[in-house]
Amino acid sequence: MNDYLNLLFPLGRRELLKWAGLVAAGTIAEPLVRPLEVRAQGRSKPAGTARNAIMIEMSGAISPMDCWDLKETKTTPKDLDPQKIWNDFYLSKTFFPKLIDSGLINRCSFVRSMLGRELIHLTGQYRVQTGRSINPAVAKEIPGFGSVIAYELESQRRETDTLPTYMSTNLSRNSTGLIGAGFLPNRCTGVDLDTSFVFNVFGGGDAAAREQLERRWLVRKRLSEVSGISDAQLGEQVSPFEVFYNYAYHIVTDPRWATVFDVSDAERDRYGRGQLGDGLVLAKNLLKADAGTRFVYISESIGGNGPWDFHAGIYDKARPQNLYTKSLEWDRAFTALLQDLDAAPGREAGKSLLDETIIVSTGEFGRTPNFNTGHGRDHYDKTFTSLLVGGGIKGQRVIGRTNEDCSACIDPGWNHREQPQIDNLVATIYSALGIDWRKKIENTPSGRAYHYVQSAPIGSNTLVAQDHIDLFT
Amino acid sequence: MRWWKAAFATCLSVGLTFTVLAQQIPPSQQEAIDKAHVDILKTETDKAAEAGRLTDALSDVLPRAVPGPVVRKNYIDEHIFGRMERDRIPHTGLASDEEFLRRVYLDATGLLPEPQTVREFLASKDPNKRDRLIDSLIGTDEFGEQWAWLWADLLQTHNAGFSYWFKRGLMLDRPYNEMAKEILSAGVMKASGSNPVWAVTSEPLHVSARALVATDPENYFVLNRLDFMDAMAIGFGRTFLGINMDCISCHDGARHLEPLNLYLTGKKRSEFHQQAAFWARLNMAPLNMTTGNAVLNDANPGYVTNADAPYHTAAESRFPRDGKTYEPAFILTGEKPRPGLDPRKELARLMTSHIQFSRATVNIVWGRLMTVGFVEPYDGFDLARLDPDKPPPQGWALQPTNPWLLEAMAKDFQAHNYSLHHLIKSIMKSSAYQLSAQFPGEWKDAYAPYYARRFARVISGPEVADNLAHVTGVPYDFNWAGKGTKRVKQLSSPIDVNPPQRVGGVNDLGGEGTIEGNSIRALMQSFFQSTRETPALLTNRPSAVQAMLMMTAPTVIDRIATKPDSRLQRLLASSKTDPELVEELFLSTLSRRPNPQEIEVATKILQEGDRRQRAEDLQWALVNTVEFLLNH
Repeated sequence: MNDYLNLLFPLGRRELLKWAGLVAAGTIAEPLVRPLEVRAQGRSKPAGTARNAIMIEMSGAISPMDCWDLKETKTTPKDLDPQKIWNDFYLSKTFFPKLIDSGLINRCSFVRSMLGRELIHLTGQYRVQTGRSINPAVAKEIPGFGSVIAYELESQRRETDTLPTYMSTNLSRNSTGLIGAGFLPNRCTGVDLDTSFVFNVFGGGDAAAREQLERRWLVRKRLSEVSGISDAQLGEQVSPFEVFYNYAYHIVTDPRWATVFDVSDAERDRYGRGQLGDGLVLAKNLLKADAGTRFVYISESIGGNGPWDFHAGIYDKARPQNLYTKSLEWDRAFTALLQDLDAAPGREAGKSLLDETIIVSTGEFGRTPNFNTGHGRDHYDKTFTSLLVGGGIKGQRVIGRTNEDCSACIDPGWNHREQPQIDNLVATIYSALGIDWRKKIENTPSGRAYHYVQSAPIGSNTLVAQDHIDLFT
Repeated sequence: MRWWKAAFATCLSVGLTFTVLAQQIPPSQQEAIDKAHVDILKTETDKAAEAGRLTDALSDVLPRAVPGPVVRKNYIDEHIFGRMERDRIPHTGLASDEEFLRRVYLDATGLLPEPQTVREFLASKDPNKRDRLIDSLIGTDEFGEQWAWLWADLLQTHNAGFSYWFKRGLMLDRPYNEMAKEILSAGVMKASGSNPVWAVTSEPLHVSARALVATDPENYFVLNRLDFMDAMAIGFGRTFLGINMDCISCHDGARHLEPLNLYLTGKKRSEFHQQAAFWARLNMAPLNMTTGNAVLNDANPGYVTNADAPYHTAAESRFPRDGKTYEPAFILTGEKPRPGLDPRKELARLMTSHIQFSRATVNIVWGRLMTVGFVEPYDGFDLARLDPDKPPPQGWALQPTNPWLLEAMAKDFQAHNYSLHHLIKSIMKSSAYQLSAQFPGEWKDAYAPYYARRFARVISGPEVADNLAHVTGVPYDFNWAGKGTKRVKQLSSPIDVNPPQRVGGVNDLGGEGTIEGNSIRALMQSFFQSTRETPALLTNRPSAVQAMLMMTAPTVIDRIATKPDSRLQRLLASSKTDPELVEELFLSTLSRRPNPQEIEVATKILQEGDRRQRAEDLQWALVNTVEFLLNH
C-alpha cells in the first residue's frame, strides 16, 4: 500500500499539500521516481522578460492572406477596408476594428514567414500543444509544452500557490484532447476548464453553491469514516481516490478559485462570450488572481476541427459563421484581454500585467491561396502568420515576407535559412519566461533525449532552427 | 478509422511503436531507439500488476464480506484454479451475492440494479440464481448498448447505422464472424449511414472522395489514397486480429522490432502492402456530396505505389513507398484471393476463419470482464509467443497471462459458432470471474497473471454518466435523429451528447453544445472515454479531475436536486422512515445494504436539518464515494 502511494506521490506529505490539486488529468502512477537530468546544451540567452504566458490556439487555422498577411487577390472581397499600419503591413479594419482603434495594434508584432509542417487539424493542434511534430515512437512520454513550463517554474511556486501552474480552456473538447505531462511529474499536468459550465459551477458569486459543497463534503467525510477510512489517515493508509478527492476539494474551495469565475455579464459581453471570449476572460482572471497559475492555453473546439476552418463559404455572410464573424469575435475578445492586462498592475513596479505576460495567437497552419469549389480555403503549409504581444515583445515588428498571394515565403526574415515554425513560437514563450529553450532531458523513459526544441522532427525533411524568435531586443 | 486515428493510436495508447527516423540515424543511436521500443512496450505489459496494486490499495474502502468457497464450474475454472493449485498461488474466495450482483450488472449492461432487484436476489435461495441472473441479462437491450458501445470505441466510428446494426446483432447473438465479414466486405453504399456495415470503411473513403473536389495539388487528401488503405488494414487488424501493423506499414520489422515482437520482426513492409492491397481498387464515387449518396466501384488503380504515393507525408510520418505494384495476400498466411472473386470478401473469409481472429475476440472480451486481458494491450499480440508447446527462443517469455486458457477459449469460441453470448456467459459463470477483490494476506505482483483476485475496474465514462441518471432517477433527454433517448449508450457516439448542428458544406462547423452535453462529455473524458477520433483508451485509473467533476459538474449537481419523479422525490413523498430511506439510497447507489453504523450516521444526517436538503446531500456523498466509481 505504502509502496503504491510512494509510486503515486514520490513527494513527502508536506510537498503534497503544497501541491494540492496538481495531480490532474494524467495517470496516477508517476512514471519514474528518479530525478530528471536536465542539461543545457548551448548558449541560449533567454529573454526572461515575462512572468506569465498565454497561448491562443486559433483552432481550425486563420487564413493569412485575408487577415494578418493581407494580400489583395482576385478572391479578396472589396469591403475589407485595408489600413496601412506600419510600412508594408496592412490590416483589414472590417476584420480588426477594435485592435486598430484602440492603438493596441502597436504593441503587437507579427511573424509572416511561418511554415506549417502539418496539414490536418489533429496533428497540427498536437504540434501547437506540444511544440513539436508527432513522433509515434515516443508520443506517450511527450508532455504538452505547458507541462514543461509548469516543471521549469516549479521552484518559483510559493506556499500560497494553490492553482495549477498550467491551466487550459476547452482542450478536453478538441480532437487532440488535453495532452498530459508525459514523462514529467503528474503534478505538471494542465487542468482544463470547459467554458460552457465552469462559470455556473465555480462562480464565486453563488455563496449557496459553495455552502452546499462544504456541507456535502462533511457528509461525505462522516460517511467515509464509518466505512472504514478517515481523513486522519491521509499520508498513511488512504486510497488513491481519497488523495485525489482531497486535492480536488482543496482547489475548488480556495477563495481565489471562485474569484476567477466571478465574471459579470457585462464583462463577459465585453469579451464577446463564446469559447474564445470566455476563455480569454478566464485567462485574465487566472493571471490576475496570482494564485499559482502562470500559463494558460486557450483552445476553441467547434465540431472537432475548430472555428477558423472555413473550407466553404469563407466570406459568405449568409452563413452564421464566416471569416467576418470570426475575426470580429477574435478582435473583440483579444482587444479586451490586452486592455485589461494593460490596466492591471504587474508585480514589478511600473509594469502592467501585459508587460509581464507574453501572448501568442496562432493557427496550426495556413490556408490555400486559391478558393476551392465551395468558395472556401483548404489547408496549406508553406506560409502562415502568427501574432505575438506583451511580456517583453517589442511591438510593431514584422518578420518575414511572402509573395503576392501568400503561396510562398520569399524572406524568412530572421537569421536562419529555415522558416520559423510553431516550435520556434514555443521557444519564444520559453525565452520570455526565462527558460533555456536549448535544454534537453536525457533520462526519459524511452532513453531518447527530450529536447525542449527539437531540430530534426521525425518524418519531416525539414529542419527546425533551434532558436527563439527574437522580438525582445 | 481515418488514417490519423491509426497514427494517433500508436502515439497515445498502444505498445507497439515504430520509428521512421531509424533509416536516418547513425548506428550509435540505434541502441537508444531499440530501448525506446522496449520501454514503451514494457509500460503496457504492467497492466496486470498495476490493476493488482490498485485493487490492493483500495481494499480498505471496499466492502468486506465473507468470501464463499470456490467451486470449479467449467473449463475456464479448470485452467485458472488448476494452474494456481499447481504453482501454489493463494487466491481469494467467491464474492458475496451483493458484490456479484453489482459486478455482473455493470459488466453485462453497464447499469446498476434497482434496489428491489438487489433485495430479491439476496433473498433468493435458488442455488442457480447467479447463472440464472447472467442468462437473464445477456441479450437485453442494455446488454446490446453496453457491448455495441465498446465495439464502436474499438472501430472508432460515430455511425448511427453501425451502432444500431451491431447492437441488434449482439442482442440476437448473430455469429460474430458473420458480422465481422459484413463489416470487412460491405457492398454498395446507397446513402451515408444507411448501410450500417459501411460505417467503418465509409469514413476514410468519404474523405478520399474529397480528392475529387480538392483545389490544391498538394492537398493532403489527393496525396494519400494509399495511406487510407493502410489505415483500414491497420484498423481492422487491431480489432479483428489483435495485431498492430503500424510499425510495418512504414518499414520492415527487422532491425526495429527485435526487442518487441518476435512475429512482427519477421514481417516485411511489402507484406503489409499486400494486406492493404485487398482494399486498393475500391473507389467510392460520390453522387451527391451533400447527402453522401455514393456508389462503389473498382475504378481505383490498386496498390500501385509509383504514381500514387511518391510524396513524403510529413504529417503521417510515413516514408515513401518503393514504386512497385502489390497484389493482395493475407498477412498471416500469404494466401491470395481466388481469381474472379471480390478481394474484400476473400479477405473477410481468410481473416475470420483464422484462429487469431478468435483469439483476438476472446482476448477483448476477457479483458473487459476480468479487467486485464490475456494480452495487453488488446492489439499487442506477438504470434510467435503464444504456443506453450513451441516456446519462444531464449530471452523471450510466452506472452499471454494464460496461453493455455486463451487457446482453449479461442477454440471453444469457434466450436460454438462464434457466439458472443456463449463466450460472455462462460466467463461470467466461472468462479474465476466471481472471485472477491479482498485478498487474504500480502498481495504480490506475481499473483496478477494468475487472476488470483478480482481486479477492481474504474467504471467507464458512459457507465458513470448513465448510472448518475439511474441513481437519481433523472434520465437524460437526448434528441437523437428525432428520437428521445434516455441513456448515453443509446446514442451512437459520445459526441452525440450534443445535438448535431450542421451548417452545411463539406466540412461543417458543429454547434457549441449544451451545458449538460459539455459537462457529460468532460465527465466521460475524465473517465477515459475517447472521442473516437483517437483509439479506445480502456484505462483503469483514478484522477483528481474525475473528483473535481463528480463534485461539481452540472450533470451531477442538477440531477441530485430533487425534481418531480426523481428517485429522491419519490422516496421523500413515500411513507419511508429515515433508516428505510437510507437503505434505499445505499441500495440504488452502491448496490448493497448499509452497515449498522452507516445507517446510524446517515439517519442522523437526515435529521439534522431540512430533510430534502439532507437527503440530497447524502445522495451526493454516495455518488462521490470510491465505491460508486468502481466495478469491484
